[in-house]
Amino acid sequence: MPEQAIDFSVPQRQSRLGIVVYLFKNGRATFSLFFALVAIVSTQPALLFIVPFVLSPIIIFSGVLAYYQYRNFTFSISSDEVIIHKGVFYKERVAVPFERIQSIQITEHIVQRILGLVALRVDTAGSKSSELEIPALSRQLAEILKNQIYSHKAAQNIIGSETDEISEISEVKEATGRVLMHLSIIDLLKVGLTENHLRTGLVALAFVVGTVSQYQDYILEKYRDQVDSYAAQAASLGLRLLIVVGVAYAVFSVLLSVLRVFLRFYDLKVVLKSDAIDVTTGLLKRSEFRVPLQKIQYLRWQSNPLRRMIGFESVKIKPSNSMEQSASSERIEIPALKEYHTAQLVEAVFPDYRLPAMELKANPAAYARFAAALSALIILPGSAGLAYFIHPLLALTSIAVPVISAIAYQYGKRVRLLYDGGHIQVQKGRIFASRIVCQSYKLQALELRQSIFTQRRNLAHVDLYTAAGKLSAMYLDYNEVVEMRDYLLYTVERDDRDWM
Amino acid sequence: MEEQWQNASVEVAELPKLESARYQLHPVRFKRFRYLSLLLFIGPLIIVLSIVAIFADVNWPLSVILVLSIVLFLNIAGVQLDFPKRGYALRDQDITYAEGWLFHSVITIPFNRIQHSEVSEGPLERRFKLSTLKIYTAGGSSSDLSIPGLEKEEAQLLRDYISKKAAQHA
Repeated sequence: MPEQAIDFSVPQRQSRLGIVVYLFKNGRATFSLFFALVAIVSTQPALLFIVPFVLSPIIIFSGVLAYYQYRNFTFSISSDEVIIHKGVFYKERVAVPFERIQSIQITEHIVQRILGLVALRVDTAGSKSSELEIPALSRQLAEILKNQIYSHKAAQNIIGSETDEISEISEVKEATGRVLMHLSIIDLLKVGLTENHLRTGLVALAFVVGTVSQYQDYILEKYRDQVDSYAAQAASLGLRLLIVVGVAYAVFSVLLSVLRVFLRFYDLKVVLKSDAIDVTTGLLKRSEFRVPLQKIQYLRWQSNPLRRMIGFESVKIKPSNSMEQSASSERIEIPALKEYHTAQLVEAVFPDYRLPAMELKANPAAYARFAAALSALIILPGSAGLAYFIHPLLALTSIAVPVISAIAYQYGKRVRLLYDGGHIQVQKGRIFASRIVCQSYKLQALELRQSIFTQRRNLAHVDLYTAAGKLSAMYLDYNEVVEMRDYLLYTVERDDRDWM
Repeated sequence: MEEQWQNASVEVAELPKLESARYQLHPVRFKRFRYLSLLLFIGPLIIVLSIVAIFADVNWPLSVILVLSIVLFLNIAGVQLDFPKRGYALRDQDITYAEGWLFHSVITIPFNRIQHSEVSEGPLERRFKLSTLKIYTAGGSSSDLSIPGLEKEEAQLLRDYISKKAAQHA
């Protein structure tokens, strides 16, 4: 194969079809301008003739720009870093040393998919600006490049070994990956139907309300007559309308969550390798993540009542990253984990895992007190107002306070922090149960918090920081927490293994 | 590496106790520094609002000034009450910073998890001959630690000590 012969030490250009990718990227930036033009012309058709005059130079310019963006973009691998040169007006050189590489991702959005191209992104632990992306590579070349970078990285870790040998070893490792999960359409549908529809619906509603209020004046003016007559009809229909709207909203929420799940998790494939987890997922935009096991800071399992009924849990994999990257790493999620999947995943990520020996339980009464105080402060004045101004019976809304406190008490009963020299496990909640597992030696800071109220009751909150965020638990016994702090600090401080 | 690491059982009672560590308090002028920075933050707002209240015929600035004054007063009381509870403790393997009166927090960072550290001083800090020591860990800013109100030489000594300790583990 000719691709095998490619020498990455010489700067390479991307696939020529990359021009189209750039064209699309630039096009998106001018899209809003195009819509503005359409809006102007639709109100004043006489201005139609200006459209070609405005648009044609923009189109020509973005075409030329895309060509030069393609031409000026080169990438290469030197003995210790990955280097790209890019830029038309401002030339830029981005170099990432091998040892700073956290993971390599291959993604494709719809345009790249049509053209048979992929983007390769090199993530680092640093800031966003030190990231490196090659947006238009053939899939084959991207795979070769990815493996080359990984073998260079591995070669650098073992000093004095032959590079060829190392790359051979990593080839072998590639081959021995074992599939943890390949999501079927049926399971995908199940995941979609058991999403948290309430949340999806609320997000959609917020979006619709936001958009409508933005264009309210415009819409109202145009459709004033219709809106008025609808409003009159709606008022006369009353309760029936309310039910119809409610049902429509529920159906819409479910459809939306199914759609979202299909877009995101279509054909999800998770492969466990001896040193990394590979995740491939997505319908229109396919993403490929590789997370080295070493970089994983914690796993977070989550469930809801519907999911639990069909025996599913979802898990988020959190590698060490910077704040800016957290949005993209948020996407390394595996839904539809059955118990045996979880067992396999734990075995791969935390080989010596067993349930931590020591257990701290939260004080549920403290949760209830906190919830009672907070909800009373917010709800009681409200229901007093309602009762006074509208109807005395509305004073019953104050029942919410004890109800919320009871829920908080139940929640608090379920908050557990387990730890020992090996692992830390934080469990929370009953209805939306979640648990986090993390290796104890990966902690990088430990914080105890007390307010004057918790101090009186000898309680404390604790935050355990990892390179991927913190695990926290509230209202634990102060003496137990102090004991845990001393124990965990001791564990971290005598352990010099690489933690990220 | 992994094979060398062993997981021997630990006697909990024999672990080094952080609570017995000695906390180093800030120099007293750090209190004055905090009063002044509070005043510089809220003072101009109060002055502007007073001018509005005097020259324009509206009443709302007065209530805002009242709220701001209460905030200012509470903060000043906070600085005073917080002072004896605020300080750092240095141990062989980690550094701890405690602060807060109403909400007290104690954060500890082991030296072998520190990425780098730096000493900085703002314009107001320079007037008071104070410095801030910043300690950075990996993965975003959530667990970074910043210790303000240190003597300049003290901050530099601390930074050097921490870098030396952190380098031993790297």
